[in-house]
Parts: sequence; C-alpha cells; structure tokens
Amino acid sequence: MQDDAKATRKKLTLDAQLASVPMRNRQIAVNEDADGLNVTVKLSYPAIMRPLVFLLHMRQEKTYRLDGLGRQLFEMVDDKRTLAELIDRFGDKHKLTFFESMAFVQSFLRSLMQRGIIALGVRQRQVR
Amino acid sequence: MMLKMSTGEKYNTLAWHHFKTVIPAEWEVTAYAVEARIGRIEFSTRRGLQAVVSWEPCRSDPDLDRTMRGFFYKLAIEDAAIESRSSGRFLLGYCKERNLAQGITCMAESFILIRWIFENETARENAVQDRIMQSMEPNRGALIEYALFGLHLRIPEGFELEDAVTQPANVLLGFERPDRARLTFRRWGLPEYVLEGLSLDEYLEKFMKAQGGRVSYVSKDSFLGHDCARAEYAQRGQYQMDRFMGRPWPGGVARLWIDEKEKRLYCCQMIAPPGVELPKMEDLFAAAGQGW
Repeated sequence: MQDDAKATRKKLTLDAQLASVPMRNRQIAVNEDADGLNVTVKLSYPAIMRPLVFLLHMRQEKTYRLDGLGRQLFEMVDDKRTLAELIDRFGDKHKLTFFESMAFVQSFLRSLMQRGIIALGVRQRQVR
Repeated sequence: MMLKMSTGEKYNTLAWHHFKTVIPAEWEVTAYAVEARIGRIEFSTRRGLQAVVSWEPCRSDPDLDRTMRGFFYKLAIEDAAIESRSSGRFLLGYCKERNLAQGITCMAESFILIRWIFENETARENAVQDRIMQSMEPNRGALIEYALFGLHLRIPEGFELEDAVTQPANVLLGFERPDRARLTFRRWGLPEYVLEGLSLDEYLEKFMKAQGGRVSYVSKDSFLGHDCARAEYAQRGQYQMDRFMGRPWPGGVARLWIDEKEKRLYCCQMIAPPGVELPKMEDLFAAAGQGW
C-alpha cells in the first residue's frame, strides 16, 4: 500500500499536481477562538500499539493552532478547489507570482498533510 | 491546463550581465547563474519550461551557422529538419519535429555568445521570439542594468554582482567594487507578515542590527515617491582581516520602503570603507515605468 502511494507520488506531473484537490480530513474538529483556529486531529496508532494506548493513557488526539497565512490557506481548502485554484487565489490576494505562491501553498499543504489535517485527491487518469 | 500564450501580452525588462531585452511578464526565473563569464537563466510558467538564455565567451567572429547546427547535431536532429531565419541580430533555427527553437548571436562588443533556447509553446511563437531577439542589446556603459526578480537597477560600472539569493518572495542582490564599496538590494513579498506590526523605521533598525550594523540614526523620509525609513549605520567589512580586526566603517546608509501597489517591501543598503565614495541611491533605480 505504501509502495503504491510512493510510486503514485513519483509519477505525478506538474499538471497532475495542479489539478489535484486538497481535501479536509473528515475526522478533524475545527474550533475558533480569539487567537486563531484550533484544529484537532485524532491520532492513529498501529494495531499492535492500540492496547498500550489505553494502558499508558497515551494521547488520542492532537490540536494545532492556525493563524495568519496558515489560517487563510486552511480556510481556502473546501474540498472543491484544485491546487492551481488555491495557488491563484493566494497569489492574487498577496500579489505573489505563480511560483512564489506555489512555494508557499505547497509547503503549507505538505505540513498539513503530514499532520493528517488534509489529504490530496488526485484523479486516477492523471497518474501515468 | 494547456492555455495558449497570447502574443499581445505584457513584457518586462530583462537585464543581466551582458545583455538587456524584454521577456513576457508571465515568465518567471526558475534557475539562474551569478557568474558573468559563463552561465544561464531558465524561464518557466505554470505550463513548464519556456526558454533558457545562456552566455559564454566566444571568438570575435564565430560561425553562427555551424554553432547552430552543432547544437541540433548533439540532439540527433538533421540539418534538413531545421528551419532557419534571422531576427534582429540573431540567427534562429526551429526544429518542428522536436518543437525546439534556438537563437544565437555574438555580442561583438564583449565577445560573448548569447544563446536562447525556446521550448514548449514558446518554440512555436515567432512573435514572442522576435520581440525578445529584436529588443536584445548589449548591457554596457557607465551604468549597467540588472532587471530580474522584480528589481530593476542601474549599477555604476566597476561594481560586480557578488551575491544573488532568491527565495520565494525574498530576493537579495549584492554588488561590490574592488575598493570594497558594497550595494545590497532586497525585495520581500507579504510585507504585513515581514513587518509584523512594526513601523518601517522600527523594522529597519531591528533588521540592520540583526545584520551586524551599528545603527546611529533612523529617520522617516521619502524615496522614489514612497514613504521610507532611512538609517545611518556603521558595519565591519566582510572580508579578510576586516572581519576580525578592522574598525566598523561609518557612513553606511540604508533605506526601507514599501510599494503599496506591488505589495512589496524594498531595502537598499550602501556601505564603503572610509574615504571611498558611494553612488547616490536615487541613481541606482530605474525610473518609474521602465522597470517591472
């Protein structure tokens, strides 16, 4: 499964990346307070670890605070807009060029993906 | 995703080391070389690589036709498949089979061979190629122009490009003369996040201190039609024993201003050893409307 994901990632062209759709994890909880947006993600552990999670009272969720640019970008992710549309929107808002905007958006989305907050939806036909 | 390139699009000035010309405003630099002797710059859009311009030393009168054929020969393209024509001072060759165009010329003034390679849709866009080729001229004189990464500068002869650090929305170009006079230009995007609520003068003072400068005076000023902060500072030289033993050079001047229309923050620093004259900061920037 992991190998498939790696192979898919390697084969994505720039066009396919731009046409992909960032989507929010349906399991996250989003709360707003005065300081920003709090996004709570349920943590998943390997099956072998699950009994230990209860025994050792390991935490089962983690909260991230998003503010400033991070919050703006997270709020733009609506499960419909493609990566290209997000880049254009962000670029237009801050008067950044396409590649400048792409660098910001990609690096932020990558960090959100690593934390399980969003996933990137790629259409099958775009994977060569 | 494939969009047709419009030939009626806007153009920006491109000036670097030996040449100046114009390029479509949509093109962005994705790779570049600082060295003046030999190097290249790559331009891309969201549709991929569009063009590469390279420069290298050449004999006074190279055989352009042979150089052209040599390039295509390396790609296993036969002579018969190349359509050649002239455009400005360039000889242009187009290979339909590979969708690749190459324009070459020798800047006889400086014995530099300039080579443009056009790829993807630009390879078929004669109007774009012609505009670039025909606008091409040597970058020589008392003021050498540098127009790239959103900066358009006129640098007095004698200064050499020493540093170019380009990150997304964060550009630095540094020039130095043999007498160690130094000019540093910066351009940042997302100004509200760079300033983090500080005023221009507060930020400039903080920034200059972080750069190792001893700020003696900060004031509000106006520069190129924008409100700006001006700082006078002293700083140690950066090279050889100056770095460890020399006394800080006084007389450094830095200006920081924000272009609200572009949403960019600019900073210019000038410093030189005592007794060395610096150019006027106003003269270093291209007049409004001639830049990006």
